[in-house]
Amino acid sequence: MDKIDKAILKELIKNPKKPFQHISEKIGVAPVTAQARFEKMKNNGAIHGTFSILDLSKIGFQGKAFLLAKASREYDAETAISNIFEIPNVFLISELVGVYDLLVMVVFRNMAEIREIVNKIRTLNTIEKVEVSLTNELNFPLKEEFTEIQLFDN
Amino acid sequence: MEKIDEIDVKILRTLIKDARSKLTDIAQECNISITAVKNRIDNLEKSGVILTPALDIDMSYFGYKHTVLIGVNVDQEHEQEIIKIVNEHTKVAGIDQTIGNYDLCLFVFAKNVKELDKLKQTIRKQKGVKNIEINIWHKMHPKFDNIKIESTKRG
Repeated sequence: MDKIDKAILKELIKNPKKPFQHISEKIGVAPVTAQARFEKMKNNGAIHGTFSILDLSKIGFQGKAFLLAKASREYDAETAISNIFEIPNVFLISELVGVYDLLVMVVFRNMAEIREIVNKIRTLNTIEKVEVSLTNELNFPLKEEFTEIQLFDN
Repeated sequence: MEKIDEIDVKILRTLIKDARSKLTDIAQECNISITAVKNRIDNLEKSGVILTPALDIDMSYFGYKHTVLIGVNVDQEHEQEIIKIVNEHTKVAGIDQTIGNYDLCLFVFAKNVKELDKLKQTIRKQKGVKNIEINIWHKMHPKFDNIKIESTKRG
């Protein structure tokens, strides 16, 4: 990653929607170069692209839950993950190292919905135990502050 | 609650995957004019449904090898102090005040285990902290399109 890449990244962190035309003017390279570098950084895995942060509380959701699951003897990650993703509104599963085996993130519209989701996961034969933490924070997929992350120390 | 229709739903589903989606592509997909798309996005931003675009950075590429969920049990009056410390000490993906298993769910990026341990010890020393659990992410499976965004207009 060279100076030009870093300069482009800094601009995109400030404004992920900034047109390549404007980025190129700011840092003094051709627009095609700016775009090519963006694609290069996507290909080499430095960035995955862009996304929008939504406030799901504005469109009918009431809360978000973090479920920590412990595996049973019958556990295999692939089966458990594909079974859990069959449940609507599960938006992220992470395999964990430690006391728990899976972290499941889900948003829900009401208490009945989250109870149903938790019960569904509890009845899977790959899962032994589920613990729940709930929040009414509904910025999705991350909080807005994430966009202010400082990647470079200078 | 904001009123959104099927076209807004389509727009949101597109933008959540790619904030730089071209207006022309969205217009074609929704079968409406580019101006109409632009107006709808403006309205979704104004009403706060769309908060902000974000760059999807791979933190491990930049040396933050570990993504971690730190679950903390702490007296409510001391929660803000913990939040402040975590923001000062490491790169934060999210901090949620929760009820249930944990009182605080901290999602952070750490360069190495040593850094993580230092953070843990620092949190442990704070007033009101009863328990800390570290859960290191080993493999992440996101599936954002599994969220069922639906029209909030009836009929």
